[in-house]
Amino acid sequence: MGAVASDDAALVAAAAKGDPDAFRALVDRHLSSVLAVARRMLRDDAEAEDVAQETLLRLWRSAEGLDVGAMGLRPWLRRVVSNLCVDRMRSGKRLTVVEELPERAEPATQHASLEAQEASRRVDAALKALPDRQRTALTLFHYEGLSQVEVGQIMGISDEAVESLLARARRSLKAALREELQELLSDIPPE
Amino acid sequence: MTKNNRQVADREALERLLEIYGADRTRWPARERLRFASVISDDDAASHMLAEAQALDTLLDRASRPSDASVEALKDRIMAAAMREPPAQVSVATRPAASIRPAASVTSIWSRRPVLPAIAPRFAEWPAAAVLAASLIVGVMLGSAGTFDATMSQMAQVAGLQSTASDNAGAVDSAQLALGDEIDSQYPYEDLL
Repeated sequence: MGAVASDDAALVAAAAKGDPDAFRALVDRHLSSVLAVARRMLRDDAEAEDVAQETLLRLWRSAEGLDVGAMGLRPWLRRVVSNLCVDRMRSGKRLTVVEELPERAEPATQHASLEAQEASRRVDAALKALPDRQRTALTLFHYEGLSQVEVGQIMGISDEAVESLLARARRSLKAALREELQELLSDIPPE
Repeated sequence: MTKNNRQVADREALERLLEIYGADRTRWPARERLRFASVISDDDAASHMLAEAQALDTLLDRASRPSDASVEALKDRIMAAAMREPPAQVSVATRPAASIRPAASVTSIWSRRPVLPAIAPRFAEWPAAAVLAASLIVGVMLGSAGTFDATMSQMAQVAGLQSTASDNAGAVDSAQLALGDEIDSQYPYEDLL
């Protein structure tokens, strides 16, 4: 078991005994990645925060019976947050669909930083424009590093269906981000 | 298959592979990795397709992450919610002393019912025999005072049984029993069945 996994196991064991410091350490360690998955899958910050909170509270509630594997806690959390997101999308109880990221106050930063933020915003918008299932498959496969089989298990679909969703998602993104892609490719020196 | 045809087929297969798995070759199935290693190195078009897929992966990695401020606020909310509900499966033996609630004794019923008035625990301490003796004494006193007979008489009236002139409960009982037999004989119960 690696260092991260053994740390996770020790923290989970302490949390199971009701140790709030141990639970806080787990939240510090894993919340960002849990929230990132939820945001990409749900496209709504408030809903994503709800799901991330529920995921971590499930960890707190079921810490005692939890078996932390060799990969640490992350696979378990990823599975829980993905399932919660899929459940929300299936139930149709989505609150709002945000077409664009809300404007946020930007501090006076360097030009390069602003460009990076703008690029992030365009990528976010392109991801948000994808149909739910395509975005879910892409999030789990690309951002979370799950295998095709694992994605299929979480989404309850076949390997072939996962392949189809991933291919359609990337095709749509290529079309939506054509200009950005050309820009990047022109920066790449010929081999 | 001619070389050109094979090249076209390889490019189509590579395009499909890149659409599904992206440019990270470690994510490709092992068999495909082997198959396309030489295709990419020998075919400029295939190499360009890989570069395009890498650019798309790079763009995807530029997607925004949650701001630090919102994450910190969410952490506080999660901690507050967690502290409101202790872990469900935690056994009492393993919980820290500060969070252990006093366990209720199985034999002490009163201690598990804090809403009862303060007088209740005093009754709980009485021996059961004393309670039984008190009940017996009360019963004897009621019987000797005649209160019970008067009560029976009132009940008989309420039930519709005709009272005799006297308040003698014994006479009422015997008369009404006879009347009851008479009423029974007037109704052919067999016909009703």
